[in-house]
Amino acid sequence: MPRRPDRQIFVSVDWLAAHVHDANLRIMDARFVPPTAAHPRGDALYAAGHIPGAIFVHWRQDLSTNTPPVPNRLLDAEAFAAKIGQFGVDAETTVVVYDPGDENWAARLWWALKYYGHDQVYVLQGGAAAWQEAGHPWTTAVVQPPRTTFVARPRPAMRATKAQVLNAIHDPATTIIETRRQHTIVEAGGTVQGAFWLPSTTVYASQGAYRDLIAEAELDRYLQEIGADRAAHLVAT
Amino acid sequence: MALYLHGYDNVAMYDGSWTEWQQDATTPKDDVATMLARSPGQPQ
Repeated sequence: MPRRPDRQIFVSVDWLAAHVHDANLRIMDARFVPPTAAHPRGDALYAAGHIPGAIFVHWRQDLSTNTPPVPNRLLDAEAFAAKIGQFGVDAETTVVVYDPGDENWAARLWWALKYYGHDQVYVLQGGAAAWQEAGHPWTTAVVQPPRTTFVARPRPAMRATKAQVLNAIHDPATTIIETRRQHTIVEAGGTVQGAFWLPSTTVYASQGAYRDLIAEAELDRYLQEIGADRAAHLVAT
Repeated sequence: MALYLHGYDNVAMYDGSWTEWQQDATTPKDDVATMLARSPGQPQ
């Protein structure tokens, strides 16, 4: 399984605290969470307090399609670029994304920006929970970033279409990974034929108020067991 | 997403899986039991 030797996906809360006022830094609060009695909406969380300088980015309202038949997919390149430009991100901007600390939605924004060709994007390790636990500043002040121009340069290898997944089912060089929870798969009427299960509940480990990834060796062992280490490509659902 | 966060480079995300695959009656599907039988030894 190829890992980038120079990869850096996360930044620490201490790193961000030291760089929070950098001119070319844009912090995105991605606390998109379905509201429940126990959890308010992400925008309410943002209004109540956030990392200084952060803007709120709502995955569904800002960056995904909300039209049938397939809502919640990433915007097309033109619309995505327009929105990211509104957020004050251009090619020179370093972006740090955070969520409550489970890294789900921060990772999705990370993927979206990477997919559209932006390399200077990182996930805040431990998210808002780790930031607050460390005692770093918290504010209700809202910033309005200056609009700029973002040019989207899609990386097709990072995204699979339905047609590609259909081909992948019979492609011995591709392993399909199902990441949804069991009850969701049942509700959806099944998973992609031939998929292996690797739900998010097994690849994260609790670190108190937030989650962290399990050890690389542990994930590698599982991927070896299902033969994914020999696959040229992985498709994640 | 965790595969990306773990640094794997050869991952393509199918972001239509939650609805597009489900809504299309012709897409080949496995039930949960079949998927689980294929996927032993997950990390705990």
